[in-house]
Amino acid sequence: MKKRLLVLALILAMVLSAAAACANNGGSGSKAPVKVGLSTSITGAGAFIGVPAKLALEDYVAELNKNGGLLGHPVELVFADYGGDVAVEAVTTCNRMIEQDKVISILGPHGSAATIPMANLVDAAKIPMITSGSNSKCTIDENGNVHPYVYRVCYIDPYLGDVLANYAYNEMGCREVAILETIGEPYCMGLANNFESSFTALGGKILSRLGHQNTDVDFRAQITEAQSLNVDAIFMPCVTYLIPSLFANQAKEMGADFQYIMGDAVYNEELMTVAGPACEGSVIAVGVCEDDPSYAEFRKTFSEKHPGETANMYTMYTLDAMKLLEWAVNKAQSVEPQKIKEALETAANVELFTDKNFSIDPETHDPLKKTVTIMEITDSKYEILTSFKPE
Amino acid sequence: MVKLLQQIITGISIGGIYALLAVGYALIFSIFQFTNFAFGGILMGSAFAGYFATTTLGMDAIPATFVAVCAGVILSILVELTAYRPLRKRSSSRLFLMISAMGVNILLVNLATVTFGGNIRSLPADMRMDAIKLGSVQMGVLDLIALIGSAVILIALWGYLYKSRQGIAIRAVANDTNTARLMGINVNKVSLTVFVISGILTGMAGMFFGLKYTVYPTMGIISNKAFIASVIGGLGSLPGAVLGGLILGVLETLIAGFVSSVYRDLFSFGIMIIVLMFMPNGLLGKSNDKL
Repeated sequence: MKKRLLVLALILAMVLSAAAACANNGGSGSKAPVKVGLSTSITGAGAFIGVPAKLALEDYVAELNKNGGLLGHPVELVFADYGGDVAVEAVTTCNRMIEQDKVISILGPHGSAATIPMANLVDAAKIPMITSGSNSKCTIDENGNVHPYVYRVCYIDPYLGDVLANYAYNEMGCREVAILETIGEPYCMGLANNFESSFTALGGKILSRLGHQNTDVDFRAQITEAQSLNVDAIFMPCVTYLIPSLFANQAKEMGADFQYIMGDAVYNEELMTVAGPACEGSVIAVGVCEDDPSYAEFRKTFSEKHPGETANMYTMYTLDAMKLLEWAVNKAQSVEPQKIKEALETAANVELFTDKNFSIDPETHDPLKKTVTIMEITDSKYEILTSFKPE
Repeated sequence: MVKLLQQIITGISIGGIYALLAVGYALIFSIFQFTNFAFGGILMGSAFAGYFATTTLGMDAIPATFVAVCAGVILSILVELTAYRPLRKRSSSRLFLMISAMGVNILLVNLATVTFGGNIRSLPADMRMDAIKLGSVQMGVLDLIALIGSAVILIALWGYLYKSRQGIAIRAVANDTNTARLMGINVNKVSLTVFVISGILTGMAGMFFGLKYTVYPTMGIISNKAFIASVIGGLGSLPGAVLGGLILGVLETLIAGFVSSVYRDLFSFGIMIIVLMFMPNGLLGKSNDKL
């Protein structure tokens, strides 16, 4: 009995301290605090995306609160982690943020697999969501209508797929390509489909779509297959850099010398540490070039403040989303979700972190005219080859 | 023809990895009749130990493997003492042991994410050895070492279980824990020995994995495949675990190479269901069990 009481008391103490921690976060502003959610992957394989994003957002909001927060309301951040089982946890945490935390807006998530199930929820609750890393057509529903409350700051697959297919066919001279495809991953399958349709329209051939599961670590079966097909290049629209790095290293060990074409989600400094030599000569398309000198100062300060962490593309997209929200609140002169949504509809020439001239297309809620930069991996470094800015 | 041969060789080397892990599952299952789902977490912990031994302390592959094995043993003992033994003491249902194991796994993975970050780390490239060519097919030296290593460990384990006094005690406990206790065998000591052996296997597998692939918090997920392998071979049977591992490895690569890699897992789980339907104890498992 005593033991049982002790356990109960311990649990109670934990719950109370958590509640107290929540209450203390309120800050000392004169107006009531407002909550902003960040939905990301803080645990699991995507933690390299979510952890720096969370830290950077915390730093940014601390600074923002010092300067008066959003229209005098101190900002409280609410973090939602969908690292374990994306489809289930994205929905559960989204409901929690809407119903319990009463957030005024949700930033993130960093992936289409989470954004797609969350889109209907935020629409129903009328809470604007600014996704900062979901490239598939997740602002549009299955009937082709725009999700009224879903916006994005990153660019979308059809455009990226088209740019890469053109580059592969015209500049790299590729005619026969294989695609490494993660089954059940919307970003990957979307980008793969777009690449395939653009590439075949140009006259190229997709010899095989080498499927694999998200949790696979061994790709020797797929490598043997690609070797026997004698492809010019392998397109890897993977969600993280883990799969391309394993694939490239294993291919190198098996004596295969493939050239890779990669989508933006793979872009990470760590890829160079883990598989730089195996990816030599590969081509990658990105929206944000991390090595751009204008980010150097931010990235240096970030790494000094958070040892062991590096600010990557998603970190910067997260700040873009926060800055867009801040702009919308100021434009609307309100922290009401509905007013924020109305302001977001009109976003034009907004200065964000990675884009000085950001505009939203009200028809699709996609950004207008985002630059795509194509880079080549040379001596385990990303070298900029060219940039495309749509007219 | 060359492609078929290459896929089979690849399959055998992947199967060797599954076998090494499946033996770890089989060993614990044969004694305690529960699946040690914390296996993946311990595997990851030892891989991280091996990684830090090579990168921070600048060790070579062999001493680093020793560090990884030590980490595997320590983690394995810790898990046994904190998560399993207290439950067994209360004669809890095996289901709770399994849930406790899953909890430990989640704890370890998240602890690693928080402490080391979610990034992927690779062991120094010169430790990944090259491939050897056998005619027109090739096999990684590392795979060959793993395959031979698994075989050697298995033979040593068999010798230990069948020829030594402690081994006989372990088998006695596996056969009937209560009677073994009545006969004066210290069951707690035996179970600790089993977890030490399991820790050694996991540590070696962790280091090998780190070398072959990379090191990251969720790497232990591969042990799911090893679990399937040990179910196919017969949960609790050591030779069954090896056979199951090899069958699964070869089948997966053949499916990926000649049907489609999309359907690979469908076949892996499918074969498990078929085996269980017709041979509920797996290929080499016996209904009265053990080792």
